[in-house]
Amino acid sequence: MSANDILDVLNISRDDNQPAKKKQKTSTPTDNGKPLTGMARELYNLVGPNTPPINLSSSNYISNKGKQNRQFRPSPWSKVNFTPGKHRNIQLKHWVKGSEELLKQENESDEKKEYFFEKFNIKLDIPEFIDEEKYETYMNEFKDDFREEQFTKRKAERMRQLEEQKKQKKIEEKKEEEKRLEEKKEAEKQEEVKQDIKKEGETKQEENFLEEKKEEQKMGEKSVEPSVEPSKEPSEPVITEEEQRSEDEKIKEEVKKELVQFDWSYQETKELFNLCQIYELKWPTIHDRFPSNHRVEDLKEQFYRICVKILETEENKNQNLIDSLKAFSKPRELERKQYLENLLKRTPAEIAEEESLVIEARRFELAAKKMLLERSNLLTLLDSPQSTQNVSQYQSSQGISNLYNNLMIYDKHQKKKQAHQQKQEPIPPPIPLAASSSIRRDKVFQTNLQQYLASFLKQAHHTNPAIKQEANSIQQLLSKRLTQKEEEAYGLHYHGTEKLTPGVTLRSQQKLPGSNQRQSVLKSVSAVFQEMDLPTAGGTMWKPVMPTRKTMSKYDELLRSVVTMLDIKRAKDKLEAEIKLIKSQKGMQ
Amino acid sequence: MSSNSRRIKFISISVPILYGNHAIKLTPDKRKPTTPQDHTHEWTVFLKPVLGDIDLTPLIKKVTFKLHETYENPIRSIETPPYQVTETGWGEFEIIIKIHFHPGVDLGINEKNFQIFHGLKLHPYNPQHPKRENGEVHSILYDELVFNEPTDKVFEILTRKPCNLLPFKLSSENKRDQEYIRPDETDELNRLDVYIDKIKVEIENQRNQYKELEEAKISLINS
Repeated sequence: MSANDILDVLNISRDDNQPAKKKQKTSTPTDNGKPLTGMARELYNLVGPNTPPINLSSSNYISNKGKQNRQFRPSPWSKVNFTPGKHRNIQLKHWVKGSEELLKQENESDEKKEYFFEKFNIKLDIPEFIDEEKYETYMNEFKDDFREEQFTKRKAERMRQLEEQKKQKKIEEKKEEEKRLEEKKEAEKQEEVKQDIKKEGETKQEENFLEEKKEEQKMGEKSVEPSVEPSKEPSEPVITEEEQRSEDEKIKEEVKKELVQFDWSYQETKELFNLCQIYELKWPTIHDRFPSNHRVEDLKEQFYRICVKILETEENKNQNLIDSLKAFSKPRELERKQYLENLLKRTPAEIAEEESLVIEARRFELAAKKMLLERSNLLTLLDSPQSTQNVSQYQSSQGISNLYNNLMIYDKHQKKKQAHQQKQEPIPPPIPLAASSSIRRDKVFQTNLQQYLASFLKQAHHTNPAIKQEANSIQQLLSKRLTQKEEEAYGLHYHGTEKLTPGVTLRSQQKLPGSNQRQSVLKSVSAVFQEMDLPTAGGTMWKPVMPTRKTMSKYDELLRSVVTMLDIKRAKDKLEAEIKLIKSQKGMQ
Repeated sequence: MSSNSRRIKFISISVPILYGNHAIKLTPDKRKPTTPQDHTHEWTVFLKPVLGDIDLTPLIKKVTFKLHETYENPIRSIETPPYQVTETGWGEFEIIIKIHFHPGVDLGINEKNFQIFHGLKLHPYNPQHPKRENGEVHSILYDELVFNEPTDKVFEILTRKPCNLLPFKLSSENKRDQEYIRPDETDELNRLDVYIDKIKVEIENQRNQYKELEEAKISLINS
């Protein structure tokens, strides 16, 4: 439904010729039946003749199209012969841009121009395979190395086992006959153990692979064996020679079985190298094409170790390459694959469980972090106010509860700070060194005021049990366990035995104890103050600028010292007068 | 006697307050038709706790300001905070600020009404205060209302909140002559300490002179 339809329905006629030129411009594409971009067709229809002043479609697009339509001239393409690669004798044809004449000219000008895609035809640099003789020697070397390695390894293992067995033997009966029986049993057991080891061993080799070749290999091995054997024997003095020999034999048998991994015929290996060359070391493909049922890792191992041998014989050998080749470890590779496989084979339930475990672990971590944070905060709290107070008062259970209350108050004060900090990453601050040892050290628990109030409260309860509500305020205050500073914050002060007149006064009008003097003295004090340019309230009224309890008492101190000074001065003056008198009496002047 | 009005002996509790006045010269546009021609200043006299969030209404029933008798209705009674009176005038005089505590034995406050005298200041009086171009004058004094041996009730009211927590910083740089902060107290203490030290040196000085004179006297007598 377009806008025109709507106008029809509403019976509104409209002169289509009317729209301004601007509008016509944009409406032309629709007239030509060209689709408009930037807007759905249906939507555009609804716009109708009321085309918006902005040009919806990109002008670029339209002009391009127009240009193309107007100036399109197909460029010439020609079919030309070519040879892919220089060494191939095939003639192929392909389409090339440009007229035939032009191409011919070009061809003539540089004939040697290579086929464009030739550069992608690369070959891997795989070492040339060696002849059979060399191969056999290499393989034998591998076998010897392996045998020796395994032999020493197993022997050590066996030794350990034997020692354990011996201990057992000692514990058991020592009769020879029984011993022999034991030995037989042990031997059997060992057989089992061997089996186990073989299963566990890094090299799980299919044993049924190429039986006849195995036979051949064994024949070859036997020739090497004797050279290994004698060197091993003297190293075991504890065990009898017979035992020793049989043990060694067993080990050798075992090792021999494992030598299966070296059951690679020359032909096979050649085939492997060939495949590697063809398939460019794409191991899955090679594995697929290889005729026997070796595993990929077996193929890799064989290829790499032979390569190492070959490369090592080369004159300018690339040590890095050799090292990287040597680094290949079949057991590790197998393990890795096993892991990957396990990872892939997880059931959804297992995955879910794993995830939940991870989440759980993270939660634990967070909790631990939080705990550490709190702990360190607590310790800093404990550490900050170190007083020289006696700890004995906290050794009772009540003392401990006092401590707790105090800490709670501190905690409140510190909460704001903590709130600030916790917005940031919750890294537990380092625990202060002295903190752990200073748990008991803390501030004054009961100031004089608190002690007084507590006793006051007690008294009140004794004398008037009806007072409860009122006492609560004191109780509440006491329960807050104020510190000296906090008492100041409340403006509380305990005057001890000082005499107080009940009622309200202004701090500045409180009588300073030091001002309890004769008028004449006060006058001279006033004079001194004025001399010192000390702010006063005027007359014999002295008050600090900011009369607080502290400034008032300081003021009092000043007043007293001035009075003292005046006293001494007066005495001195008197003495001076006396001396004068004496002098005049004695007629000295 | 109600238990409320029992007094807690040997302790005192105090509330810091500010009282005083602001004054500013009357500019023609500030004058109202009712303002007398000879009035030159507009001033406000007030009394308030130093901390804004301290509510003294449980204690204080009303505050009256006794102005100069020439004012119409010279005793102005303010029942709710802010306790202040704004007037115009031309002269300085002493205003009596009277705090009326809630009366009645059963309320338990049981304090006598209390007077504070404040000399109204219209002209700059302290050379240390910054001079303001608009002629603003502030005469604001810090003091503390001390309740000696408060009743239980007063004690209860005043310990609801710590009301002596003076700020450590001025709320604004140019309010130096209008606010009192904690460092002011420390400054004053230090200043007084300097004076005390001076006096002590002087005492020592005098004492030495006294001793010398005494010796001189003894030697004179003996000779």
